[in-house]
Amino acid sequence: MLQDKRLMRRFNRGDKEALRDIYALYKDDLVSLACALLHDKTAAEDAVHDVFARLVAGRETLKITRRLRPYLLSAVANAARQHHRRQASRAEVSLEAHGSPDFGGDCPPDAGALFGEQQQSLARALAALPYEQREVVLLRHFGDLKFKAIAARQNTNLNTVQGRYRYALEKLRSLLNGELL
Amino acid sequence: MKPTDNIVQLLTNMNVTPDPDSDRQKLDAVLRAQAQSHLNPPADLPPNRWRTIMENRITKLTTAAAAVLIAGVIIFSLVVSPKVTFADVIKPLFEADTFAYDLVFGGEEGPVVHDRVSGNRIRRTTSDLPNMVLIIDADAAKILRLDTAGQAAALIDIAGPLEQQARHFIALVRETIERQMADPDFEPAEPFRRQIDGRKVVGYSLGDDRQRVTILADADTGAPMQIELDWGRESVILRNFEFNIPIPEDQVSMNPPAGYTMHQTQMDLSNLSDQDLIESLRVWAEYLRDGTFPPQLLKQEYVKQIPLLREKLGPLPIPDEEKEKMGRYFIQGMMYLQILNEMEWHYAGAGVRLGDASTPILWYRPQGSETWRVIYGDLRVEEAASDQLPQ
Repeated sequence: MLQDKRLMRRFNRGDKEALRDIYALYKDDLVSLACALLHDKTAAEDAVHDVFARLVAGRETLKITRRLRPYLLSAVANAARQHHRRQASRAEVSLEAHGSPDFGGDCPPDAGALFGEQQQSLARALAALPYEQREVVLLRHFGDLKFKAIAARQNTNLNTVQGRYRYALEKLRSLLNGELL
Repeated sequence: MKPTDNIVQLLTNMNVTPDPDSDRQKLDAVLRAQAQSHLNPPADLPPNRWRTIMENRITKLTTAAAAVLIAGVIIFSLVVSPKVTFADVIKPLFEADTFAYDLVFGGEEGPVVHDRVSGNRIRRTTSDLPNMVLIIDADAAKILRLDTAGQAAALIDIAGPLEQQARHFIALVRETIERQMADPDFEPAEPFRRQIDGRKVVGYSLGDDRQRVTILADADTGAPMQIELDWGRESVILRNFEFNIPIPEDQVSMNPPAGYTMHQTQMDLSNLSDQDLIESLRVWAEYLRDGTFPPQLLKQEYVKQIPLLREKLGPLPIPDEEKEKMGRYFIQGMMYLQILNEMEWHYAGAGVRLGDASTPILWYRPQGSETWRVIYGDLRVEEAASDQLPQ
C-alpha cells in the first residue's frame, strides 16, 4: 500500500518513470485478467492499453487513495466489459451455421492457449461461462474484490452477484470434471 | 483438498505466458501516450465525464428516455422473418383478457400446474394433486382451497409479504419484459431459431442473471409456444397457451361451490417468519429424507415433494391435527423462501444430519440488518457478524 501511494504521488507530480514502474509492477496481472475475460489476446492488450491511456489522461486529477492493483484490475474489467458488449451487439446468430442458439457459452479454440499448461483447462472452462459469471469469479479470486464491490461494478445487487458466483463455480466444477484432482 | 479449493487456487494464480516482445511494444505505446500528454494537455474531458453527466438528473432522465425510445424502436423493428416480429410474439401476452397455460417448476421432471386466469383471479390445479383446486384472488390477497373429493373448502390469507407475489405468471412475464425495455442500458438480443416437437420456433430472450424470460413462438404465426422464466435460483416453463378463452365466473369465484363445507385452517401466509422455514427443514429431514436436510433449498423442490409428504404422513399413527401441522409447516416454509430470496443467504445443509449442533446449514442477513442469522443442524439460530460467518 505504501509503495502504491509513493508511486501515485510520483505519477501525479509528473515523474515519467512512475508510469513505467506501475506498468512493470502490474501489467502481467492486468493482461492475465483481460485475457481470461476476453480470451482474445489482441482485445485484452487493447483493454490494458485503454486503462493506461486513461491513467495518463487523468494524471493530474486522478487521486487513487487505495491499493493500485484492485483499482487497475477493476479498470481493466470495465474496459473488457465494454469490449465484450460491443462484440456481442455485432455477433451474428445463425441456426444454419451453429445448429443451436448462442448465449455466449461457446469456447473459442484458442481460449486456453494464452495460459500456461496447468491453467489451460481452467481458461477454456472460463471461456465457456456467460460473461457476467466469468467476470464475477475472476474479480473475486484473481482481483480479490469483495462481492459488494463487484456488484457496484456490474451495476447489480449483491444477491445477483453471489448467484452468478455460485453458478460459475458449479459450472466450472462440472466442466473440469475431475481434471484438476 | 476439495475440487472447489483447487479451482479457487488456480483462479488466484492465473497468469498468461509472458511475451517480452509484446510487453515492450505495449509499454512503448503507453510511454508515447504519456510523452504526448506532457506536450499537449489532454483535450478529452476528465475521466469522470460520464459520472458528471449521469449525476445531472435532467440529463439522466433525458438520456434514459431517449434510450428507452431507441430501444423500443429497435425491438419492434426486429424482423425474424417477413411474417413474425417481436411485437407479434408478445402481443397476446399483453392484450388477452383471459388465458390458460400449463407450467412446470424447475425442469421437465416436476408436476404440471394448470392455470386459468381471468382478471386477477387464477384457478390452479396440479397434476399430482388431482383433488385440489386453488382459486387465487390477487386483489384480495386470499386463496380459496377446494378439496373436490371431500367437498371441503378453506380460505387462506396471503396479505403481507407475499401479497405482491400473488400474481399469475403471464403478469410476471409482462413485468420482466417491461422492466428490461425500460432499462437505459437495454440492448435487445438477436432472435434465435429452434425446433420444438418438429415445429420451427423463433426465440427471444430478455433479462439478466437475476431475472430472464425466454419466449419461443411459432416461426410462421408468432403464437407463443413456450415461455421460460428464470429468476435467481428458480425456473419455470410455461406452455400450451390459450388466449381469450371463456372462463365462467363460478370457475374463479371465491365462494365455494354448493355443497362444500367451509373449514377453518390455521395456515396463515400473512405472517411468515424464518420459524416456518426452520420447521419445514425439520419436516424435510424427518419425513422426506433419511434424517438429512435437502440438497438444495428451492421452492421447486418443495413443490415436487408435496405429494410424497402426503404419502408419508398418511399412514403414520399420529393425530390428524399433527399431520396437518407438518403439512402446514412445509407449505409455509416453502412460501417463506420467496421472502428469503429478497435477502443475502447461503445454504449448506446438503448431507447434514438433523441434530448436528456443530454444522451451520443456512445463514442469511435480514434486510436492514447488520448481523446475520445462522441456523445450525440442530435447528438452533444464532446471530453472527459478517466476519464470523462460516467459510
